[in-house]
Amino acid sequence: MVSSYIFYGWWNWKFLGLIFLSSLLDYFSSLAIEKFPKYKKVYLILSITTNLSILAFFKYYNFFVESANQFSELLGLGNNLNTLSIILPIGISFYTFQSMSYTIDIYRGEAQAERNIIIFLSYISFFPQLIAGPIERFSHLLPQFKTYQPLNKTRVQESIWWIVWGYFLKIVVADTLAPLVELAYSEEQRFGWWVILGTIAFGLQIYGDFAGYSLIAKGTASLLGFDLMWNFQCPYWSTSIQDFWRRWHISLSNWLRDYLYIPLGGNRFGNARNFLNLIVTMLLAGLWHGASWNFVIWGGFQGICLAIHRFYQRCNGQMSKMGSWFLTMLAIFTGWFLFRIQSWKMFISMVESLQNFRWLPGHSAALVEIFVLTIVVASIERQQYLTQDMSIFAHSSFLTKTVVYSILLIIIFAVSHQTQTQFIYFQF
Amino acid sequence: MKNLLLNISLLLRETISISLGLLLLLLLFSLIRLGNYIGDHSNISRLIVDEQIERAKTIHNTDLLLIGDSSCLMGIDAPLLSHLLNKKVESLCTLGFVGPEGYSELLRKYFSRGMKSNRVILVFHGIQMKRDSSWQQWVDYIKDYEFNQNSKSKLIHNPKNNILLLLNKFLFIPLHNKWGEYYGSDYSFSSFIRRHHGTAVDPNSPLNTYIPVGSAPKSEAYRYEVNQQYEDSLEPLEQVLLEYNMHDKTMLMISPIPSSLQREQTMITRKSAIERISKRLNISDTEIIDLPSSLQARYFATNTHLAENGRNYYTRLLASYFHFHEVQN
Repeated sequence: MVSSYIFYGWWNWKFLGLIFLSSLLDYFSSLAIEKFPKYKKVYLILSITTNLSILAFFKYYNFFVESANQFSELLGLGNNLNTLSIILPIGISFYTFQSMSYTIDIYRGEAQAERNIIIFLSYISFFPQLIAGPIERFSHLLPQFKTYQPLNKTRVQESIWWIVWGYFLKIVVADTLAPLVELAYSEEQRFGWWVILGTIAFGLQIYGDFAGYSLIAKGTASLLGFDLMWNFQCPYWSTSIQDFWRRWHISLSNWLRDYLYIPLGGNRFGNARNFLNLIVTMLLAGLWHGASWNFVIWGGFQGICLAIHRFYQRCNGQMSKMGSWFLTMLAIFTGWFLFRIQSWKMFISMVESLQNFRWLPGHSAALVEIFVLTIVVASIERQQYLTQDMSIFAHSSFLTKTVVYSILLIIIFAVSHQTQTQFIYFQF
Repeated sequence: MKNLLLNISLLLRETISISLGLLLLLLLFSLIRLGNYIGDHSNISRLIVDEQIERAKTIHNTDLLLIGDSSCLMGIDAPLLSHLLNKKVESLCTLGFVGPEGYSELLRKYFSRGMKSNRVILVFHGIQMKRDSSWQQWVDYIKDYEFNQNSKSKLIHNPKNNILLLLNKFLFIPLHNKWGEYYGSDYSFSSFIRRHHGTAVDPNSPLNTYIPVGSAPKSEAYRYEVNQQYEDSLEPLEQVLLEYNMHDKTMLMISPIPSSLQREQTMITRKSAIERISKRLNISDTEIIDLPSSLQARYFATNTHLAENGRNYYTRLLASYFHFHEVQN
């Protein structure tokens, strides 16, 4: 717990109080839910309202104020509200959701409230997954603080593989694609191929960045004797949008399913309600990602795609695996385009540039990088997908491991200072 | 404590093979030298000069050898000219900063290898004629290029540089601004120059966007000014041309400017500049390529560089000139 708080405080010690108080609130709320079942709903509402209010203030206050001002300007009523200079506490979206899931599970009677405050605080603030997930469930992570898991050879081998592969995804894949994406996503974009190549690159970048981080977190936690859940399971091999959301940011998808989609009714009240629930859930998923309308639109788009897929399933639609994969990727990457857009002007400029498909030397250079990185990642993931073994090189022979790890590390070492970008999901 | 020590020893045992493999690879990469990795993706000028130095050391016999500043590099399409004349055309054009003394060094690198050319075409823009003393660093850079390369022949090299040189073909670290948009990375830019016989396209080009004639703002008259430093820098060029018997096979052309900058005074100063340069280099009047001194603004990317459409147009003009004057031989 101490090391986790030091880790968090290293970014900005002023926000230690926030995570501490937020954790304390849920600790006591959960104890109260168990002790006073007659008022458990009150304590649950108190916990959820407070958590969401904190999140709403730090993350969405300025967004709502600016949106309200724009709307009132549209109506000719002028700017009435002032924005504030607010720093978004790092990891707030993650630890808030993790904390809320605990309280809700206690309310549902799915687990017993933790009495040991140190263990509880450690669970909320566990440093490998504090900043960018995975959003761990109480039933999976918290008990691990009570039992000592000694290291063994297999565990060490797997952890090392996850950390090395995670760094490769982050530094070699994500960071080297970042300049390409930055060049493509421009308010003065003139070339259609930059839009397409840039969007493909962004899809790879965000995957390398987030999956890479998740692997490093899992490997680090594993070396400390903790097992974190898998947050990614080869999502770009999905053959449907539903499959994709079972493989991408799994901890968030599961959270939204269990605490939003199912309570809204899930698929229990007919098609129309089902589709609505999917869209609403994904709209809020989009909003969770960031205080910006492009994230909301992205979420809505994902919801519509899920609804279409559900409808197609119910019509017993049949399609080849390749066709399904292609359509799925088309939907996903169109979504990534919406996700990455930073302004209306950028959107217009980039869409208009799709009239100009002139091929430049720069496009060839970009295509080479995208192709090479895709081949490398796809080759390893294909093996993982087929064997269902996410630690593919961890159990290899001495010689294979030495060669593979050395090559990966040397490339990481060489590329590491060429470009440095922050983890994308740190901003959420 | 015992558990902690056990864990650490387990971790060390698993990582030792990886560490040994990594050290071995690093050692291997430090014993070889694959080249010079610049790593400065904003230094377009250095990329151009480096590429042309390397080309001067590698290209073969030519029919026409172009040499001059960036108005030549960006303004003449060597492959197109080659195709139109059915001759081998290569360009060693670089920058105005390099200047005549720097061009002489490039020519020396080319000719000293025993290579031959039927013609040397000097292509100069007025902008280089008012030479600044700070530009001498480019001349020194070209002169010392091999020395600096050789001085890097040590027993142990920087393994990171070697690895990056290998990876450079695949990494996309874009050049800045429009250079990155058009060419992508430094490797891609250098490859383009190589594939296009030593010429390139100005990426700030409007790329065939039509600008109505006369829409350019009124500007002061362009003046060609040859200063003493520039005139002094012509001497090494003259010497190299003499040394390799190219003095009577050398032609001179002055790059065009946008017509919006041209006035009567411009033509007077242009004529005077040509006279001074040709006199200094012993180039006769018949060897001065007489192409239009200006073109419409829509052909230009900047005041000194032609746009892609202008480059195409001007190259065809040059080819027509050669055809007409039958100076291929």
